[in-house]
Amino acid sequence: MRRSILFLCLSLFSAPGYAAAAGLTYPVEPASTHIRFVVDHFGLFTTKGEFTTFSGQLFLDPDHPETAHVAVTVQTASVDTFWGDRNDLLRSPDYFDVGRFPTMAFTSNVVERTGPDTARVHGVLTLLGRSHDETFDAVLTDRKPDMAGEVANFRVTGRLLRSDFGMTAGQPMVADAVDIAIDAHIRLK
Amino acid sequence: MTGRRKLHWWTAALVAVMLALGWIMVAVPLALLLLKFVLYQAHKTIGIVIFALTCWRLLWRRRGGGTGLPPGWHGRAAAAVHAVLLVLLLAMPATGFLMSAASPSGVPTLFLGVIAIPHPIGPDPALFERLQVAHRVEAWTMLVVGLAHGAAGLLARRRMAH
Repeated sequence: MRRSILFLCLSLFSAPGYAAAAGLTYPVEPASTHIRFVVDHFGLFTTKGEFTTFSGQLFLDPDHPETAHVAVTVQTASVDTFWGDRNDLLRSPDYFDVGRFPTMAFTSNVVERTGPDTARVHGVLTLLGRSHDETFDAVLTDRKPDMAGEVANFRVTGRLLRSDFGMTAGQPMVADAVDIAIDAHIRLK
Repeated sequence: MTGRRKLHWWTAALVAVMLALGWIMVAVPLALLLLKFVLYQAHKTIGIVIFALTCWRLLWRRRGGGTGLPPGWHGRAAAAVHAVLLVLLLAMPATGFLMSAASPSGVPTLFLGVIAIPHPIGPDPALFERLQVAHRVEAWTMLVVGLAHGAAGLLARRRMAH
């Protein structure tokens, strides 16, 4: 009780967008989050991969997802498609060019609530020195008490075109569209 | 040309193409994704065809007809060479197929580039490396024994002409 009064007082002085939010900031880290992607090859097969090194922050009030805000920075060299030769190719100047662009970043602008457990996250992805508006769909897949408190699981999905960032190598063998799926497991405070 | 002879020469031609294709496709850099993909799928498709043709030949063989080999050591050596080649004609597609299945690349085996042949095992980098060594040893053996077989055939022909 005392804590929520304190929080309410603090909230009154914080940024207007967050004034009424009883949210908290959570770290976005590999221990609790998986960032995966899938890219198609002529409809014949796909390549799956993930980024293993990233960090960021998520401001979240589970009861008011529209107040959420997320900012994540991904180390591009951590791309892993479970095959060393392919990873090396992806790190090369034709693709992620990790020497010149060691990170990519996503920052949300607006989160719109689309249903009881769903939201649409609008934001900007910066990759290879170019920024482009992207939209992701977030679903609260699970929210339940556990022995130590309460946990929430999210799945965030979206599709982006790598050509928007100037990454056109490998086309048409490697499709332009890349499907992103982010799974996050958060211990609510 | 008899059906048996046709089958022999088709197999010989396809094996020659396969050896060349095998070495070329491995040398093509991964950055040339489409070319590498097409060469690999062509190699896999021809491998499946060779496997099928060899099964057919073995069935044909069982149906009878002499080997036509001369008596003595020449004949015995030729029979041994033929046996090695037949084993390789079946073993090379088999190890190649398993190699594709175990490859960490996760690229499917597509007959004619479109028909997916289900892989019996999943990616396994350690197994892949062992199969890769086996496939390479088989390729060199095929080259050497195949050339010996061809040279022996030419010699036998010259002897028969005299």
